Amino acid sequence: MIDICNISKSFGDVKALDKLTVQIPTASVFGLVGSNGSGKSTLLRILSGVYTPDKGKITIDDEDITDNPKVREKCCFVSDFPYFSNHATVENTAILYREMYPNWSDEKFKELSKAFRLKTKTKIITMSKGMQRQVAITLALSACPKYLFLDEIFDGLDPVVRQLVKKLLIGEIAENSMTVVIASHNLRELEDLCDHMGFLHCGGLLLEKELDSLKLELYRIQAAFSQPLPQEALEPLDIVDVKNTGNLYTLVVRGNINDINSYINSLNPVFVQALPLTLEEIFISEMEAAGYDIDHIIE
Amino acid sequence: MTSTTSSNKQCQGFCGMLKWNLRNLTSLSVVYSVILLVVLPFMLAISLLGNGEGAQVLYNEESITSIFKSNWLIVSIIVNVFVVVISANLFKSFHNRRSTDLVMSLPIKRSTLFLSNFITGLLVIIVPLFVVALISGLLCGDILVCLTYFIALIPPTLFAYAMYSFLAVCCGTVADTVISYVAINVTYPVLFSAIMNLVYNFSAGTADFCYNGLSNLLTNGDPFKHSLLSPSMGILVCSAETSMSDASMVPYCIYSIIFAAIMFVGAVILFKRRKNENVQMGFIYKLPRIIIIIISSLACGVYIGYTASGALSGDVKSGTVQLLWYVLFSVMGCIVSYLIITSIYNRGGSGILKSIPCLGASVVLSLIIYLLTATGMVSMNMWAPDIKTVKYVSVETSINNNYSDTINEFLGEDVSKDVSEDISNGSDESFYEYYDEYYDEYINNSTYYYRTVFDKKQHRFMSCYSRLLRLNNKEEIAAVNKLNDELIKEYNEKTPFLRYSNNFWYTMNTDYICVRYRYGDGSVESRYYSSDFFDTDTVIKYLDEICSGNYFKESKFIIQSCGNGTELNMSYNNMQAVDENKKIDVSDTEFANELIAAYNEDFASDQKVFEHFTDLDNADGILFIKPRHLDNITSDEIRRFGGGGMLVIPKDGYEKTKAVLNKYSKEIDGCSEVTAKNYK
Repeated sequence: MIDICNISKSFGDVKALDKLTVQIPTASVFGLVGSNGSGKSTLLRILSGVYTPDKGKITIDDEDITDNPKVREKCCFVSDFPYFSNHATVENTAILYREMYPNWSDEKFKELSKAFRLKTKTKIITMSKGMQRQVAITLALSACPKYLFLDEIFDGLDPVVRQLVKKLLIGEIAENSMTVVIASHNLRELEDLCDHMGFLHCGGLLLEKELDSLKLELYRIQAAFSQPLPQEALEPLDIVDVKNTGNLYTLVVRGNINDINSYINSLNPVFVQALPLTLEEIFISEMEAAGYDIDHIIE
Repeated sequence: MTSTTSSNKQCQGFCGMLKWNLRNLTSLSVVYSVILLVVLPFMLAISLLGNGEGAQVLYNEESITSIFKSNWLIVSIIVNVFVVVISANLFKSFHNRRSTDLVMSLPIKRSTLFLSNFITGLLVIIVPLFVVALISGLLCGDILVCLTYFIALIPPTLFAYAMYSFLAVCCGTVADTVISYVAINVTYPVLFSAIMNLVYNFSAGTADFCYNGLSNLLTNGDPFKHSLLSPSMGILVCSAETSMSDASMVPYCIYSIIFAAIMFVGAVILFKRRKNENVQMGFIYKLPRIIIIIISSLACGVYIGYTASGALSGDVKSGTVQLLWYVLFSVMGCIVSYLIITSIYNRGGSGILKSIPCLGASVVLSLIIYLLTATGMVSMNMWAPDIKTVKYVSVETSINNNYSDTINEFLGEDVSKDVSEDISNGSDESFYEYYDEYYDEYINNSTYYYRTVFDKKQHRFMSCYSRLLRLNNKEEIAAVNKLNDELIKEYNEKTPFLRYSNNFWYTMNTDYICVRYRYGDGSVESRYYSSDFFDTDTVIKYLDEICSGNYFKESKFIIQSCGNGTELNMSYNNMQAVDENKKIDVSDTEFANELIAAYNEDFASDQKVFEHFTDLDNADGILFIKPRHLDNITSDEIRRFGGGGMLVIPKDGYEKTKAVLNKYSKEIDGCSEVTAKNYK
């Protein structure tokens, strides 16, 4: 389990992370989403040991991660822009990983190279952005880490490869109880993959929940009434967002769907419909609630 | 058990990174190795294949070992360049965010990661060098000499590499690292020279020292100076050293290794705490940047101030004008160099105002250095030493000027010429050749007349130059002190404030007299009186007084001074090469040892005469020997003879020495008969 306790990280005057506390259970896929500059990549870099937090402590399997190779053997980080030296081929980069990671599997490396159709003797820097990312994923998965940290992993991958990556990750989680922390703006892909979500904004964690419960907590209610509702009529609901055009109301409401439905019905709607939100919609709603919406940005 | 497993894993990680780095540096190390191989073994092989003829054409009849030695300097330049190129390539993974993401997330301790990078660079730099030295040794037939050169080059190379590593950790980009490395290597020696000036001013009784900019550093700097914080210069100086057994090489190596160790340990500590988020942002640790800016600005300011004040003051008699030039140009130099280096670091003009305190610090430090060294605040230029403490006083003049003419009236004709002509005429005329030249000596900023005598085999017998007037009577010393007091008084009246120190009084002009007080404890203090600051007629008036005194007339004597040969070693390099390759046989060593013993027994009770040939007591005769090829003997005692090429023998008590010289003169190849003659 990854235990992130009260960590802060500043870059000069900018607070990238501010007293962040979160626990990531073993064998889960934890999706990190958030606004630009919310601290997603910073958190991943701290987890992988690239950065050190200014304050707070992170333990992985109850061991402090600070300059601790024993912990880092269990972790692998694929950054948003993977680095390969000028002369590196897939094959000789694999040698470095083999030397570094005790659980490295040549068998898996061959399998994945084949699956991604990688030319292992070609210089990596001559490959396309998407191919380079596939190389990074191949190397990371072949290292058989217990914890995998992925930053914007789907960027530059075509839809087929995305599916392949997701399938591979799910396979690893199922077979080897791998824990994946993945930061991305591609909420559609995360929705398929993650079981836990963390919403970051301005260095803080807005919310952290299981994806299912997150989805079951927020609903879009479309309701039409015979006449406009008085302002206090909707107050008993935990409304995240409300828009109305005449007598037609569109509400984003947090809570139990049965409770929400029964209350709306008590207001005698002409028409009512409750829809679950996509992850993207949940994200936008939560961000709006935190003051991060288009109107505020334009203002 | 856990600890063993952990260390094994670290070892595995270390090896993994080492191999990875070596793989990445393969092409660069191949280029480096090929260049080294071409410069040395290839050239040596060509010479050998040509059966020596090729070498003679190419190298003016130098031997194969001489080719090695001369090309070793090129090797040192290549090493200097490749230390930067290889290090820049090696440590660039610490200067790029993407690569940092990779290397810093690997399961390896930061210290181990740094160590593996450090060792990789060291291997890539040193191993080809060793191979080249070894192959060259095989080709030359003298592996030991070649490996000695190799070993001598290791400490400064290690230091240079460690310094780059340290800067690589402190800097966020490759460019900033290289700029900082170059800035330190260029500006530090200049600043250090200024600080040495300060130290010499504080130290009573040290030999005279003058700040004369880079020329002084290049011609007179000892290895300590070069190796302290200017590793690049250290590598070059080291390559010119002939042997690790040279006494100066020992501190050289020790200092280089100590500073390399400090740099390495510092780099490891800083690397462990390095904030990788600042990568690609100029400097990760700000202090080195501030230090480099201050050192660079300060060094440029001080150097430009000194140089410009000397060049622009002209024939003034007051230090105030020079001081004003100094202040103006040092401040200007500070500002200009500050602007340049800050603009380079900031990649433009932004942020210059923010770092203005660095400039302020540079200017303030520059003025403090000036106040301490040049104004006489703390130096000893305002008083004459107590006569009781002075053993004797010597008066020297720069040649061909008003002062020397005055002294010549008392000394007669140029004795150097007389002596050398007597030597040759008294022996076999066909055996000798003369080389006359005027030689600018940078250290004292003066011109000397040299007459050098060679035999037909181009062995240098002797060189004669300069003159010395020495006074050991208390009344004479008092007369010299009077000259000092009166001139200082006059100067002070003309320049009531902002005075220059003694060092400045002669560095701008070759027209000066120098008074050296030798104390009872052997220490020397020098005082210079340059026509820049003192009225020539007044100086000559007091000089006349000294020379026309009764005691002077009674005790007047002339001796020839002889140098340590350093300058001539450079001038007659080819001839040296012939000498250096001459095999020393037993009889030479025996001769030298006997000569030393006899010389000591005869009159050398004061061992300091060996250090300063010009300070011999009561000398009025000259014997000459030809010990040039004895330079190869490493004994310190013998080397003292070898350097001079000439002995100055007092009028009494040289019988044993003469006997030894006569005994061996015919046994040693090329050694002429010993001639003894009084020159009083």
